[in-house]
Amino acid sequence: MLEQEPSICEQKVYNEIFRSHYEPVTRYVYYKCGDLQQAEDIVQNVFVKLWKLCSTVSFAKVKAYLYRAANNAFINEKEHEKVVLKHLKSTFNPIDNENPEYLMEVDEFHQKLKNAIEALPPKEREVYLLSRVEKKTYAEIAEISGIGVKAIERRMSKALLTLRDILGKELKF
Amino acid sequence: MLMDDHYANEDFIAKWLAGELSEEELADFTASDVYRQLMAIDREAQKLSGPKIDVEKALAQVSQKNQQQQKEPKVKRLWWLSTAAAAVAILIVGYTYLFGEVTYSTGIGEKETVLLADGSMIELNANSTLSYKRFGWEEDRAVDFDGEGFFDIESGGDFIVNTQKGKISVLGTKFNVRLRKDLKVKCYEGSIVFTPHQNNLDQVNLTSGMEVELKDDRLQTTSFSADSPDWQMGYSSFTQQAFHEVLEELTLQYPVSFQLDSIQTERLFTGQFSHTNLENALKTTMEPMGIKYRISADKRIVTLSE
Repeated sequence: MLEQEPSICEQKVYNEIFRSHYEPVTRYVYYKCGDLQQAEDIVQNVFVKLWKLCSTVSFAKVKAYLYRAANNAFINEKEHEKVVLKHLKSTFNPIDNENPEYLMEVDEFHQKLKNAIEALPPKEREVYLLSRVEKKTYAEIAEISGIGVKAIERRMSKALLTLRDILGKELKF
Repeated sequence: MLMDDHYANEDFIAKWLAGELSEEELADFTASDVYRQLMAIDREAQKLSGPKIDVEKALAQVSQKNQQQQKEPKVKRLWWLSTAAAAVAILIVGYTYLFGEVTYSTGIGEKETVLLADGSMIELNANSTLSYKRFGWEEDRAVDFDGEGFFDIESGGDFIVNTQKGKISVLGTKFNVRLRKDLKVKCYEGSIVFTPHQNNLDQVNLTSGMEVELKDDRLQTTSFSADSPDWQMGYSSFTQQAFHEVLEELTLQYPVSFQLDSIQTERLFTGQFSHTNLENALKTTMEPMGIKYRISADKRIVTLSE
């Protein structure tokens, strides 16, 4: 027997999707851009668009759709920002404008770890945070990012080694 | 403190992450400083948490945005309406396309060439209209015509030109039809048959170099010598014709009207005027007749006086 797929156009289904995916997708974008307000704006727009396109997105694919759409929207905004920044740079220097607060306590080592994570290349940082903070498996991260598990493992391994390089000497055994 | 730097290697770590290390490798690695460092960092990382996100607040915001766009379902319903409307429109257009008529018309001072499906060519002089059935035309070659035009008809079955005053049927030939106040048909090539609508008049056969004029309910056949109508060359010519005919032709080629006062328009005129320049046209028609003329500022009204 064929089971009828729930329609995203139904408010109940839509809300359910929102409640289960809004937070993780927003965090995903946040780990990319380091600006929670921007991340929320991007993801909210993605959801508005999902409502508009509710009849064309299949329920089974909605998760992949949300991540992909959020990523695209983020890239678009970044492209735009690049232009803006280029323009601004000549007039004044933006100091430390990307300072995401992956906030916790203010313990010294902890602070250093946070700084080290912030300093990671964006792709490694994204994978590291999705894995360690969001507790996602490499397979899940691969699905979200649209690249292979091997590539994710490689990024993760790079991230781990970079963090060890920076923080290793702080650790006494 | 041992620094097992060969563990601090991207490939090795990637292998470890993928769970591809052998038991031995894993045992050695877990005993290394690199492993302990990584674990220590990871323990600290476990304390990290992502940003606090108020999902319900966000849902409220998004729902509000969605509601602003609630026109969407309406738009969808209208879609059906417009689809239906479009279907009806297509039917109408299709109907007129298949069973309707194609019409070509020229305005004052305009000329147009119409090429028909059978290769026949019709040149329209100013202020003329040609229309024909779009569908099944080649089985029944007929056009409705008003104004003046030069017909160059490919041979084939009967070709019929219907006018208000009579019909012209041909097989394949060149002829000029001029229906203004009166009807004048000139045959330049081949032969044509003119059948007046008026019952008391007989039909006329014309061969090349012959013309027929239907004027004051009478048919008059004369001969002429020319290879093509003058209007095709960009001018109108007159031989012993009433001056009002010249004025009539001027108003067809130029968007002007004449104020006549006491001008005698029954006098005969022989000559021609160009279709390209109003001033020249007036000069070549008025001066030989000894008529003075004045063009209004907007070039719409020409006042004539003796």
